[in-house]
Amino acid sequence: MNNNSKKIAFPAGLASLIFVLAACAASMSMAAKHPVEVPTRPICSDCHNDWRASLDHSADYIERHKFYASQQRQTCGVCHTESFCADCHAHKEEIKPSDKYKNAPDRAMPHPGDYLNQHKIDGKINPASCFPCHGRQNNERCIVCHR
Amino acid sequence: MRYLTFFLSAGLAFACPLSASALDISGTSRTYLQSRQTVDSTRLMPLYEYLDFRAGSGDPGEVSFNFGGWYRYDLKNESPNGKYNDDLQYAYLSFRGERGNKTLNLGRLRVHEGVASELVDGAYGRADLLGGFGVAAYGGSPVETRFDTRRGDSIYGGRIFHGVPGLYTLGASYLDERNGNSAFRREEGADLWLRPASWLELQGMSSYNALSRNWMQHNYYASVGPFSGLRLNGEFSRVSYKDYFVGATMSAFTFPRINPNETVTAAGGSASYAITRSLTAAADYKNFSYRIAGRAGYYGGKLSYAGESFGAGAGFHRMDGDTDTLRYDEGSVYFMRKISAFDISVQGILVSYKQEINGVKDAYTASAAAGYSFSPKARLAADVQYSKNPDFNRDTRGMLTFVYHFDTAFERKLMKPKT
Repeated sequence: MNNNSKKIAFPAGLASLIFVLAACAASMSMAAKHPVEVPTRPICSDCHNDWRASLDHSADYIERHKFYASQQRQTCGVCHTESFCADCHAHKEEIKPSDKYKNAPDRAMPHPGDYLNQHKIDGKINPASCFPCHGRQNNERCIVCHR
Repeated sequence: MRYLTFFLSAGLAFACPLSASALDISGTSRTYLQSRQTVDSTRLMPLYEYLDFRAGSGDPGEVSFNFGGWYRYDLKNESPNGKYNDDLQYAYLSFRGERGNKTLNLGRLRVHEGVASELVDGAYGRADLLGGFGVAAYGGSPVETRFDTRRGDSIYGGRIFHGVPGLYTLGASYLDERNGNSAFRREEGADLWLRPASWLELQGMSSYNALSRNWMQHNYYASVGPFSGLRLNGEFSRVSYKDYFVGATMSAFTFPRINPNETVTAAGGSASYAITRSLTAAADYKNFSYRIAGRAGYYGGKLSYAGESFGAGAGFHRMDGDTDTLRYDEGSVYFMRKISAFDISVQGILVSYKQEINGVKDAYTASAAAGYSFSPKARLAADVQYSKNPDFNRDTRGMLTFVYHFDTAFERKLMKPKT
């Protein structure tokens, strides 16, 4: 089997297996949309007292959101559209998120102000913090200098 | 551009006949006209159109098509990477099952499952199984900044997890990427979410490089509280450079620019206290210690107020590296006000470098933005930014933004048979 055939056969086989096994699961699927509109920075524990209370978008939530996204992304999708994530997590992006949302400085979007010079310091202190977003993608502007 | 057009038309063609008799299309069009200058003082005026939408409700049991992309054309002069550019951010058909959170996505899609945080042209599926177990799998061709051809590139992987709702989720994940038919990345990971009490939450992930046979990264976070408005957080991470920076497509992350023998351990914590429901004070500290380079610290605090029609905040942080070249102080203030359909915001940022860069020690940025909402669907905004920094004596830039949200149900007319 050549590589192209594997690319098709493997995901197709796995997808089939998932659906066979999942046919036994009886729980109802999560709703597509949150039933009521929530404020800009939701405090989920105002209404929920189960595990959903942990999703409070407190001041430190931006630091923790990667863990929720990697474990239960469809919970995020109840309130957020795909484009909400794509504003920052981009394949190639030319407008800084902080420039797109000048009207919302409270959201602490990445790289406000003169980040061109700051990145030289942050990149040396902790290059691992740059790598997830710019290591393999979203680095067309980086390549202008980092050839 | 041809990718945008292809995925757009193909997705809609598939989504329409599979949906119910009415097709909901909801999304946003965002138009940006930016004015900025490059370091050689060339004034650019790029016009961007961002379009995202979903065709179909996305409800369980339904098929939907999701699209996001942008196109840029320079109205004045030419950007360093060309007169125009575009990106297909995502475009995929999605089927959601009525039970077990079954999902099958096909197209260009982003995968977040354990060690995977990837953009893929391919397929993704996940489902809850019996007994608290669940499984996710994906495969296709990786979408990365082009550093060679995509010929022979492939990526696949999956995650299996078990959880008790409200108590814990444990996951094990795998990712295998090939570049030009050669092994490029092979990563394994374990992830954890644990909430033994309503006031204690632990979460994190460890990832293992199966090619170099060593741990890439451990990253864990603990959150305690809130106790009468007080919340405490602790964070720990360790990164082994030679195992973590693999598969980079950008030279800044390649060896020997990155010292492969380095390991950084970051440990820190933060405390936030809700003085009132709207007013929060927070302080944080993070220490970086290296196997080779020494140490660094990052610490500071902020005060923020978030009311219904008024918001304000101020913060100060210090980056304290091992040498003067790795030290700066950063301060910021902002103010936001909403009056009826108008909103305004101003922000100031000051970065004071310990050692001058290009003869400049203090860099500052001041920006102001104003917007008017014609309706809940349409908003026009403008912003202007002025800054002085080591690259620009005076940098003035501005942007006009028009945002339009659409959410319309299109009744599909059934074709009457010819008589």
